[in-house]
Amino acid sequence: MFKKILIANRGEIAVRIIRACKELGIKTVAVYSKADRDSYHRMLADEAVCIGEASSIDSYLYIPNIISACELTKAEAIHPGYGFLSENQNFVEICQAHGIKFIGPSLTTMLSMSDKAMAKKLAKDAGVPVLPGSEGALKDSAQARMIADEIGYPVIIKASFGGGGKGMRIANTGDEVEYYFEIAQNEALSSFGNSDVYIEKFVTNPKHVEIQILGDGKGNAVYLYERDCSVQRKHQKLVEESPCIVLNNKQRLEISKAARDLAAMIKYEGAGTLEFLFENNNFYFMEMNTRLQVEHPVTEMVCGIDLVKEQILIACGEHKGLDQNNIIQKGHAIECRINAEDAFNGFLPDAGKIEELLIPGGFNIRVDTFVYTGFTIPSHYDSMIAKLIVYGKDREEAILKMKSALSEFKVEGISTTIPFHIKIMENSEFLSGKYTTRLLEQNI
Amino acid sequence: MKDEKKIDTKLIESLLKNFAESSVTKLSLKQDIMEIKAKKSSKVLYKRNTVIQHEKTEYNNEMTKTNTTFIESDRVGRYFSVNPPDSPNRIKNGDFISKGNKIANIVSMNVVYDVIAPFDAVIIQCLGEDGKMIEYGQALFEVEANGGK
Repeated sequence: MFKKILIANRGEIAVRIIRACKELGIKTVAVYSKADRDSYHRMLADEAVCIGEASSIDSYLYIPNIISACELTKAEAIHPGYGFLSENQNFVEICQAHGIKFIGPSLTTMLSMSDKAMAKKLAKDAGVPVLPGSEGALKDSAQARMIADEIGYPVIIKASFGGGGKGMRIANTGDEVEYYFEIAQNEALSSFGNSDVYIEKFVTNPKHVEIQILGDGKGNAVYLYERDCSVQRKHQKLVEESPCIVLNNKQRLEISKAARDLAAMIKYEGAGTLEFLFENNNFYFMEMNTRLQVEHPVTEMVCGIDLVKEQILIACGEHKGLDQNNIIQKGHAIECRINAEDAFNGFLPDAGKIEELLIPGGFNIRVDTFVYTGFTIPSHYDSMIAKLIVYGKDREEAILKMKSALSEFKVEGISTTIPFHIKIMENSEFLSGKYTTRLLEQNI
Repeated sequence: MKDEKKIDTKLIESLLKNFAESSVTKLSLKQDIMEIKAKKSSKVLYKRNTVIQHEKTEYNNEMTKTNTTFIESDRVGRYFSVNPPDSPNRIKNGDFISKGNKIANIVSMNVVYDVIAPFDAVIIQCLGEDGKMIEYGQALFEVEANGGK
């Protein structure tokens, strides 16, 4: 077992990881920026090292100070959490070079999954349903048009190494494909340093369903079923739940097994997520996130498994073996991301001092946070201040519990998305469970 | 005949004796027609940092408490003084440092980085300990600076 782990992250996920380490008897090293001097993760860890200025690029993304902190505190492994360096291949390589265990997949796996065209090819090979489209990067606009004519419109042109909506264009006709092709290429080149683009069918009104997997890095993998993350605003998830109630058991098992097969095929190590679009009873693989997800607690609640502990046990080679028979999905869990944003004013981020904080409690109510009364939220990082997770024997109970917990949750001094979540919990489309990624633009 | 007064040699001897013991380097004495000029010249033994101390004295005349500041580490690493503990050149409290002087080393990821004085200053306290871990932003020296950073 590791004796000491450095957590290269901040906020609630750093707190979450420190807690798992404490339960495993592992000492922890927190790293923090100057803006996070009063952050809870700094206080909770056994040791804490200041690594830079407030701006992420000078602290949580500044690899030399993180590696140096790890070496000097004699931490054996680094848990990257999510975001920041969690999917940074250079970081994984540098960790390797310095004899530090990166808690996550190998460099090779990360490389193959970060290239979307390559990931799609691997997924297809493993029997995972993918969106019809080009195989790898397109040569020219004529080829793009030919493929688009074959798969049917609308289509989407995407950057092979992209993300965040950059280098993406939706085309409804062949002429539009030709018109947007070059624009997408240029945008891909300027944003990601590589002009490769590919084309695939554009799904207009899907659900976002993802499968959680765990792999031991030796070719064994298990699935921990699905999460429905369709409540999104500008591709940012706001509410997640498990299970996804529109799936029948056959669909659930088929897609879960396909995801597991891909993880096993690529000898995936640790926790990972395969994201799918689900429309008209068809799944389409989007991408694999080679890290822990923000919404991992909903899976933990329905499967009764601590994913962070599993990650650590796998990374140190002390996992007793992944057994699918031990993973049973039971009940229903919902997570609401509580952001310091004014939901009724364009989701404008808010920062400042929390004058008063009252956290809800009760049976099967969990709050993952790093804030406390008197804490001043720095304006330099993402606006999520807490995750409220509830578990019920079924969806109805979980929703009632969530509404009750949200009404108890008091954050004075800053605007939060709590009132917005209460509205979602009362929305008929959400209550039906049939909502799609367009729920917010169409209903709320 | 002009009245000439006899020189009081005893007085002169006494004056010179007192002068020799004093720190005065020049003496002029004129009384009526009598005028004595004396100049003392001796070799001054400068200690190391004499000039620095001299400048510090001048500097302090203009100092206020608000000039006290810290020189901080710009990285995470292990602190080392520029010179070993027994070296006479090792930076110590009271020393003057000029902008651009190398004042410490920080070893990070097996690379030695120089800490450079960002401005002219006088060391009030050396805070780094050889071989000890240093955080980003940790104070290495408390200094009195002219005009701040």
